[in-house]
Amino acid sequence: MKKHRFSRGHFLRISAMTAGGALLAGCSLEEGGPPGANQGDDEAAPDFSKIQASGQNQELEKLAENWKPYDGPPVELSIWMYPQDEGSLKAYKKAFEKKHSNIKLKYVTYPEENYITKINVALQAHNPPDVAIIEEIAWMKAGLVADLAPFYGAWGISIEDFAPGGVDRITLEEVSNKNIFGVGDFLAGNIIVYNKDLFDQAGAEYPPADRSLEWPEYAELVRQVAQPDSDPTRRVYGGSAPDFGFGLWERWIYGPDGRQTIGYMDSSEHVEAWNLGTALVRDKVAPSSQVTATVTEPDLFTQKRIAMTWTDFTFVQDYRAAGIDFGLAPWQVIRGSDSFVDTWTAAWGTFVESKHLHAALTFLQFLGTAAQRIRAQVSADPPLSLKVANEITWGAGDPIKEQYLQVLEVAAKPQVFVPPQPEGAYEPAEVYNKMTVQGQTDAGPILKAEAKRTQPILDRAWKDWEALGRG
Amino acid sequence: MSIPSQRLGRPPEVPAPTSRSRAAAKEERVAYLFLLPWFAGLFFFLAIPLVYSLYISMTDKRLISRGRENFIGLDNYVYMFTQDGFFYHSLYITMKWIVLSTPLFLTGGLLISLLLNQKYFGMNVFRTILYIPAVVSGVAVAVLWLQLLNPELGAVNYVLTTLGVDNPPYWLEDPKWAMPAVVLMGLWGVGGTAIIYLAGLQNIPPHLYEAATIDGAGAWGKFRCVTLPMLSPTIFFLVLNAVIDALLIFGPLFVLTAGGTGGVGGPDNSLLFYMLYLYRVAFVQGFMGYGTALAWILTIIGVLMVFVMMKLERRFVFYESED
Repeated sequence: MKKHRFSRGHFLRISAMTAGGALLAGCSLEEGGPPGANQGDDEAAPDFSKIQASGQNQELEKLAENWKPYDGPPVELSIWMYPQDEGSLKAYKKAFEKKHSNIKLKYVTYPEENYITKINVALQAHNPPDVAIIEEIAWMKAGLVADLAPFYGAWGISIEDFAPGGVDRITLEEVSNKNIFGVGDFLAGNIIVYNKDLFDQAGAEYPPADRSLEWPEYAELVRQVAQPDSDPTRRVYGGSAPDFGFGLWERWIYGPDGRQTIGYMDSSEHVEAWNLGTALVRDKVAPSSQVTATVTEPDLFTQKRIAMTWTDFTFVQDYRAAGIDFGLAPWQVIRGSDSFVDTWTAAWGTFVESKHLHAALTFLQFLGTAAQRIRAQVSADPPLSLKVANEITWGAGDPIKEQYLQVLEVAAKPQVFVPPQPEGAYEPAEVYNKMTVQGQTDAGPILKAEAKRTQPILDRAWKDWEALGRG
Repeated sequence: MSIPSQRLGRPPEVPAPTSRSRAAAKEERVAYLFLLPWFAGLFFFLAIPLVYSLYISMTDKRLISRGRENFIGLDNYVYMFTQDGFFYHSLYITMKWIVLSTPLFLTGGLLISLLLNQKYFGMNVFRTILYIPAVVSGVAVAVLWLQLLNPELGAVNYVLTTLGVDNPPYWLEDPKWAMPAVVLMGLWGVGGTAIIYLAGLQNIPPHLYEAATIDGAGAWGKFRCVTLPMLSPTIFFLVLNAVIDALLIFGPLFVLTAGGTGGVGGPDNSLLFYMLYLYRVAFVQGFMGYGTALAWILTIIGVLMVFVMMKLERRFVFYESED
């Protein structure tokens, strides 16, 4: 009788067939994004048992109930951020370490464009920083960030104390007394700063502080005050038209509820803004992104090479130091829109998996309280706490700060909430490139196509968002 | 006195060892003990991650997620080949780069090495200067070229404008010019290739050239019949490296595109190399499962390309030691 030997070849073939069968059994083609794009639909039991909403996080709740600052053995807090005002950070470190000698602060700064990725990778490795700027709202939604709501009372602060533009950054869709994921130390605003001398030379009227200019008015003013020159180093630009500026208020492109692109992104008012703004760049009366990649707008303004610039209020100290006589105005808006100034804060928070949670909370308490006053002293910015701003009468006697408050009063409005969007969503830089580099001059067809293409992506982003963790 | 078989050159018959001596066994154990750290490294830092990454590539793992990943079999691979246009686009961009850059860099390097192989005063200084770009960090080179190629304020367009070019290219900002800009940047580092060629050239025995001269060969004849065949192992090595490097290129391109129009991948994704796409999928969008599947496909493509080149080696590469 012939005896069959079970050879290595047999073994390999049978193993391959078994593995292949198992793999194919797991196959099912998903639509709309890579597999996992709709992971939120899956009702598989979440394993974030210890990091659910604040009501379920007993450890944090207990800590909040019996709150006292960290007094354990010495620790070093790792604090991650993208570039922030250095003067303020130094002052915080000095004041905090003096008060809490057992906690040392170690600042780690990443470029802004890589920041979210760095944190994502750290979260994936279950080794997030102790304190960080909570730049990605999905971290809050997924329950990865410690909820500070129970601590606010213990720290003697209230969410109502803070300016709405900053509150938007530390809460989810709507302002509430639950689910507060951070504290902000200052209130930043995107405003227009203009050089009065250059306006006087051109015989042009200053832009008003009590309302936003509409794009047609703004474009005309830019051309009026510009001093064109074929040599880019001698040219004086009239104003700025950065790619993000056309949709600065997201309701212009996503509608008032942040869910609709068609009819907003491709509206005639939005198209008009793009056409006028990119014409300024093509005609070299506004700096292109290639110029600002080398010389930033604040630098151009300090060198008196641009008459009007969008700016963060933080930079006014530099303009003062450069001896420039300047004024402030709200950002330009699309035709028919309310006035608008975008305001925000750095949303400092801590992750539930952070190694030194108690010490991190102690630092966050400091940022929400003492740091508000320090910030107002060492930088140009107002504190995020309007209560503190009133107590210290921030801006009194300083015409520029008073003008800033006036601009904020008339134009600071909350942003529209739009969830993070996946690959292929609307990218203003691409439209800008088509219109300033690739020779297209009419934004109409481009934005129409973008609106149509982005709508299903936005729908999916909302679906993912609503399925992600809490909400 | 020797026995006849030894005189005839036959080796003496040595009795086969019937069992290993205790000393030999101990020596073997010691050898394994010394090898243990390497085996441990191989197992923990290569084998386990490799198997785990294969598993991850068959899941829907996300960077930010409320739950555990689900095993989805070959879904990621099926999606990649049937629905993902960016996968094919990034593959096309990478292959375009290989086709454009590899012959250009290798030919450029060869020409420079032929010049550097001349015996003139101060030639070592030239060799050093040419090699400097090869030792500078790729990221630093990318930052430098970002400035040089700035369409409005960069030195390259300044020179072109001075020479009378009315509308110089927008380089990295223009989808049509982005790839040529990166090729131009790559040419700057061709000195590194030239130095390897030079080492190969200096290993060619002079007597081969003398023989060719006696046979009446001219400069071209000597290059074609002596230099090229003798350099073929060096060329093969450089081609192999160039192809692998081209598949894995990431750092300089990330620096070139991350802060510009369109972000990582450049305007209209004109510089969306495979590794950049992989990064975007896995670390920007957070689809770790799908990103890992992309990495596995890249590995397979790389292995296949190397395999084909190794097959071709037998036909095109000449080793002096061969008959």
